[in-house]
Amino acid sequence: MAKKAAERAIHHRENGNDAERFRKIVDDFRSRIYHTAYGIVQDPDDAKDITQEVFLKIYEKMGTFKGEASFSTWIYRITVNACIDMLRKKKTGPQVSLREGIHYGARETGSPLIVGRPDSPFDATYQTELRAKIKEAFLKLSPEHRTALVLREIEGLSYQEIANSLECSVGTVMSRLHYARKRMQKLLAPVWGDSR
Amino acid sequence: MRRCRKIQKDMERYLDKELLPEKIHGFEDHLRTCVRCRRVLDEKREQRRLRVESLIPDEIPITTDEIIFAIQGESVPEGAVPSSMEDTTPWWKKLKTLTFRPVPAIAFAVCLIALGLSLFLPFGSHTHRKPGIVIEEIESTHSFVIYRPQHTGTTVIWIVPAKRGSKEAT
Repeated sequence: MAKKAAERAIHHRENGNDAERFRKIVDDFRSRIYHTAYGIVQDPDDAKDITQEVFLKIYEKMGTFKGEASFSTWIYRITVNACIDMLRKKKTGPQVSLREGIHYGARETGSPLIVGRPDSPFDATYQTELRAKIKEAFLKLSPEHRTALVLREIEGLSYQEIANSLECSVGTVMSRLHYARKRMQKLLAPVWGDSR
Repeated sequence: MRRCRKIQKDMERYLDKELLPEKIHGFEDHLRTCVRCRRVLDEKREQRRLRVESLIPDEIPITTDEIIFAIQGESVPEGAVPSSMEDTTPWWKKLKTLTFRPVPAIAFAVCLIALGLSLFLPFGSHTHRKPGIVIEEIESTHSFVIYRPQHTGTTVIWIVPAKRGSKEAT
């Protein structure tokens, strides 16, 4: 309810179209847009450019927003399209440099995943490598699968909200999420161990 | 076992908070009794946490002002450091992040040793005599000279210039 009210307020603000109101929109959405863009393209400079571009589009098109979808859905849609355009322009995603063949088995914890805060140089190195591996696996997914995963796991959108943002059905969202996770699981199998 | 497979199939939807309400009760009941499924769910949750941590940036390198200035076709005024760019890390914490580079480190050490030698290498001791006063120069370098008048035994230190010669003790 509060979310709806906030979106209505934003809608009113945008109709006002003055600098102070636009600043509020930038304040409210800056981190969400940057996180989404970074999540999809995995490059800080590209994510920054996309964020800038998205706000420019919002600024230019605010008058055309009819309120059929929620304001945040509309913004996510612009962001996702900008990210996909960027990835198409670049063709390939950024490369993560990694030493191949690193295998981490279960340590004292019994699970290779429970690493917690790095309290030794080994833990810190392990976490860095683990993150690099995850990033590398993520970059092997298609832009559509990456987008679904980012909107669900980083932005916390529901299946319906993702479907609205991507202009597809909930079934498609579920299928993309399922495929993306399965592929990540497969690519990271040596890191995760044999967990399903 | 068949029940476990069914439960594990629903785990991602459960973690997504998208599991149908009528299924949640049975799902959670099973978890209470099945250690194996609980372990799998914990692993999936941990994998998801690591995935999110790995994919989000540490900071947002663009401020509201930068966005607005760029849209208005202006650049950020000179001297206005965006808040996200301000480095608030204390200097002692930055020391930990310094990387050891052998060549500059050796060069720095050599310079330090040369400076030390120039300051502290003594020229040797001399004795200066003036009518009625004998002053022994016990230490002399480029930068300072130590004199000890023989009759009082008081040590007088003269800081630069270390021009060699006798001084009258006062």
